[in-house]
Amino acid sequence: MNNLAKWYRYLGIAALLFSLSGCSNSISLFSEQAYQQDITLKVESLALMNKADEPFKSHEKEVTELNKNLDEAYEYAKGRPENDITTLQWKIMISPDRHLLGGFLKRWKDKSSLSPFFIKEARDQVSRAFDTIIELESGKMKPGEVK
Amino acid sequence: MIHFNDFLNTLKKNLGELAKEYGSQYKDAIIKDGTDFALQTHVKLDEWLQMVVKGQLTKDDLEYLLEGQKDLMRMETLKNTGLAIAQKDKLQRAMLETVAGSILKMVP
Repeated sequence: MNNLAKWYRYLGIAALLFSLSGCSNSISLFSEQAYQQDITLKVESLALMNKADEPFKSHEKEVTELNKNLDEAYEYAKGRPENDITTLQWKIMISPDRHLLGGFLKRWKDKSSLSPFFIKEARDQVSRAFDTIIELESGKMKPGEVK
Repeated sequence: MIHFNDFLNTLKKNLGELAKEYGSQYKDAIIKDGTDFALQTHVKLDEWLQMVVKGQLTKDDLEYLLEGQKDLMRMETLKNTGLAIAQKDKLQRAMLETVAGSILKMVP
């Protein structure tokens, strides 16, 4: 009888935990594909930003290609379940109306070329912004941790 | 010219909105991140103002970089909020496994 009471108590706790895990905010599992994509895009983006003291027209094709890859990363993030936070990070990163990578590329196009000091400072901001996406992805629960 | 206090007030307002959006349990982390970030920005702002005086940065560039700092702070806060949720997910998972394991041990 004593064991049965314990059994019911454990079942009650389990039911409570299951209900809690179902009703509160959760975040997507780690994705190796997203992680690799983040690193590749960081390297490509920073390399291209270094060239922004040259005329935009000389690098227009590279910018178009990078924008295409960034859009793909955003769409991939958006398509993953419970991935709202990372999706919002990507939106801030690539939006031409904001002031990270998307804003920088638009500014380069508008002004044709940018000053070396401005490039250095903006590049530092974009690099740190990429790190926030990468660090969040690597901090997510790995599929192997879910039994 | 841009005043640091105006910038700080905008940051605090944005932090408050973010804390509301993601729940009060993350409020402390959000405010700490915001404060740390504002202090870092203060150092940067001094450097940028000197570069404006030297003519190596335009006022327009300075305004852009300040907006960039705000976007970067939002990214940092989102990261920390996400990591806090991931930690909570891991703890819940560990608790569920412990409870399930304990129940299974009782089954004859």
